[in-house]
Amino acid sequence: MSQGYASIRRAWPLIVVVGVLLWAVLYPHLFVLGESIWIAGEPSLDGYRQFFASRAELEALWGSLWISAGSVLLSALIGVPLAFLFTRFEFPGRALFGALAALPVLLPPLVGVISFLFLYGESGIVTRTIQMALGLESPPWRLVGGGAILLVHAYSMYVYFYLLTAAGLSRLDASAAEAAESLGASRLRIFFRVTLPMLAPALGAASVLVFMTSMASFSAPYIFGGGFRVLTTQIFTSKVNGELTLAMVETVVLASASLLFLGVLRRFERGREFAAVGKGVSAPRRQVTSAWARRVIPTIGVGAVGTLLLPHLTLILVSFVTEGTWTTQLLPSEFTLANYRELFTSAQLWTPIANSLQMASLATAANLVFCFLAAYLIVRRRSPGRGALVFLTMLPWALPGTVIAMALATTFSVNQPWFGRVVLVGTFWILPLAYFVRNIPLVAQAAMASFRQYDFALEEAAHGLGAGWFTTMRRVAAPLVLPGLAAGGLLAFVTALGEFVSSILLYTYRSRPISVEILSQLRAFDFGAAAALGVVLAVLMTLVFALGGRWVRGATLGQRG
Amino acid sequence: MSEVGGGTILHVEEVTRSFGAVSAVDRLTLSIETGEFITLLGPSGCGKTTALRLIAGFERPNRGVIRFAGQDVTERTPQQRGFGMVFQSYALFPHLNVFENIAFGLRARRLGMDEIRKRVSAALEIVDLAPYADRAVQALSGGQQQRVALARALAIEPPLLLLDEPLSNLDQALRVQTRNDLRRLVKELGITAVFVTHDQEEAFDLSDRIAVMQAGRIHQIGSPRHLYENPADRFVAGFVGRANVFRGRIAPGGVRMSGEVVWRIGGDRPSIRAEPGQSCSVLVRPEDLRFGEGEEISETAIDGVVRDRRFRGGSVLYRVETSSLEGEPGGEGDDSVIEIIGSAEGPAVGSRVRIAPSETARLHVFLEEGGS
Repeated sequence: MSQGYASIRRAWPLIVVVGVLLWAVLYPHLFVLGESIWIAGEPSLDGYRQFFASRAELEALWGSLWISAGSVLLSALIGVPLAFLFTRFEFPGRALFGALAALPVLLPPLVGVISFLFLYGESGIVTRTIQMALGLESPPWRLVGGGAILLVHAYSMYVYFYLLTAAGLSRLDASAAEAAESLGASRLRIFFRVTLPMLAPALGAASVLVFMTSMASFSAPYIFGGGFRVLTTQIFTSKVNGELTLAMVETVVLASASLLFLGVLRRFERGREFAAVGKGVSAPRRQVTSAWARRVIPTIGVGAVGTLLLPHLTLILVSFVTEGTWTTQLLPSEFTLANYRELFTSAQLWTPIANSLQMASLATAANLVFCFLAAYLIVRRRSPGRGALVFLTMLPWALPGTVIAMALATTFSVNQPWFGRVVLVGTFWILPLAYFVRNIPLVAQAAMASFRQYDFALEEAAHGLGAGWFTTMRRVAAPLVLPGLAAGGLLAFVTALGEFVSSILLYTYRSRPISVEILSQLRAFDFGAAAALGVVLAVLMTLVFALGGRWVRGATLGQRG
Repeated sequence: MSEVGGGTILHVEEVTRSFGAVSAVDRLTLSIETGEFITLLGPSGCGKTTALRLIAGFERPNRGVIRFAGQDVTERTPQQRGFGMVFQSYALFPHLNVFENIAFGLRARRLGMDEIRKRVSAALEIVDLAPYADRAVQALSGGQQQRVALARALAIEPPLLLLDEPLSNLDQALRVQTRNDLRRLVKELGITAVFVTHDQEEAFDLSDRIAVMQAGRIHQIGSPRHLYENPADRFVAGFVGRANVFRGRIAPGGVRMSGEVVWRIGGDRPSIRAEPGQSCSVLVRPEDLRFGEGEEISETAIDGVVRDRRFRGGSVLYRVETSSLEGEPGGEGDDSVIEIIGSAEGPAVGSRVRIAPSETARLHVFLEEGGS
């Protein structure tokens, strides 16, 4: 009897974690899969036939794939040289601009996209400048289509290449290059035969991140796509048009394509993990000495960073513009604090802020409890089947937000308690659930990292010194594990606060979040309010990073939209 | 400076390298004969690694000239110099297997595949790793990695081999064995080598000559035995071998250690030009002291109590506490403890003993200003 009780007591965390993972993560996605081959009560492949027979659908699939591949290439072309510049050379302002170049990682994707609009959109500052300078009748370009999406992606995703290459470079043993030099290799040979191959793991990881982020990208194609089709926007359109079977099929195709490419890229990456052989020292930064290099190198670096940060600076500028005063002028002329004041005084603006705060808090609280337990089981107790546990906790990372939203929307639209289905769609609860599911990987990763750093011998030492379980938890385990977990939670909180991709598919007007409100302010041409909301999100993100950056740096590279 | 001699292959002349205000290497002058194994020995931060990197070409001197085989190579890149180098971290290329690591320098020289295969096999043979050609370098043990690094440097048949603390990442037993292998190999192949270490035992085992460095300068250069027996200054004396260092005062015919006790300087050292009464440091090797019995040494003996005995195989190292000697900061260990090598049958811990220099002992006396 007591033994049975003890084993239940031991088993409850496992039951809770497995139960939640099955119900909230695995089940909805299997459900979507089921729905895609179950039409009008009968198994049928009509949906897939329709998909693969439609030119538009194949275009969307192809569009998603080539945009992703192109984003990888362009991001690498911007991020890798920047990383070399800022890690290998020493010049005045290096540290500052090197840090600034990493800033776009702090912007929620939607906010990045709209700031782009203010700058390069049809009535953006740069566009108008060129139009006026050249005396053109119409804007020199229209920011729509595949090219525009690619540009926005490269602009915001180079950061992955930048950060990972810089980290890789600083881990690189400088004596490897020196060894090559002493063996008679030329500069060029050293770069291609030593440095680049040794950076391969970092470049591979960055490629995976950019590819997956780009496959999942919704904000950029939604706002800049025009007639250009990608799968994420196609799913949205199908759902809005009520073509549910097709939406299911598209969701399954997007999920499969993402998982497939993740698998392929990971396989390619495996076996290329180079732990440093022996201990080494990283390369000293080269002091720029020659006169022309002393001018050119900082100019390129600072210029590039300036260009890359221009959208974000524009966002700040626009957030101070008096409503209705920026119409045809090159630059806004009237500035005010009213936009920020209104965030707290106008019900229209304050409601979404309050909603987002409330929903993000709920989701994050659930994330913290759940991920603490999951990490404890995976790392500490090494539960049987923990491979499956890790897979399920990481699954939402590999799945685009649109897929997760569709899965939840489909599963929780009917009341069938015996099938684990309850009506959540149209209620307040669907968004916190979506945020919770999307942020499981992020918080779980932070929690697992803290648990891995935590030496369990400390617990034994505490027990040995006479401390009971509770004292041990309070005095030893909690202080050591909680900072990492808390940082993961903070990051999850701000991510949820700015979440857009799932929200746009699941929100109700009453529970609309900040991101949806930004979009509707944009539609109403109240740029100031939209920008002010965006700035608030960005500032919150920056604060979180400043507070817990060292715990969550790795995990952040997983947020997307 | 001196004319380049017939056998001199590397000549470092008045080379200075400073980083900011700090001179890591200060007016360093050094000549190396063909086939010679020379070691730069010194505590960490003494500039020995910088000196090696200057020779390799990774650092450029602020002043001075480096000549190799009669040619000025000061401005040449490491690539142009073509000296083989073994790094402390080994710096093996993690993305290449053992064969490709060793072949790297040969490929850079655009040798034919047959030649490359031949030379890599030969290099692997030399370091006894022939069966490991296809292994990933990460899969090797530390000692094996070290040998791959050596083989890689040797494969290019360098005119000069540079070794930057290549043994420091190995554990003690392996270090001693690798040391012996390295010595044998270098001598067999007749390689000219410059070796950097802070380990005096390593330096003694390997080197034809040792350059003792401190604060960017060479204090003394010579064979291990010469350094041990004729240290040029207190630093060398203290750094090379075990030593007891005490304060004393110059007295007629020797050094007054305390009260009436005067120790003769001994050996064949020239007499010291100093005023009687001038204070000085006295350095005595543990093997130059003995336990006195009876009257014969009463005049030169001091009293002490055995605190500790450490078995050293053929002998025992005794640590004797004494109140009659004034120790000196910078001497090894406790300043009131004197170390003596004796036989296993010597006094037990706790015994009262009398200590004096042996008949053949030589004292190294350094006047306060540092000279001798």
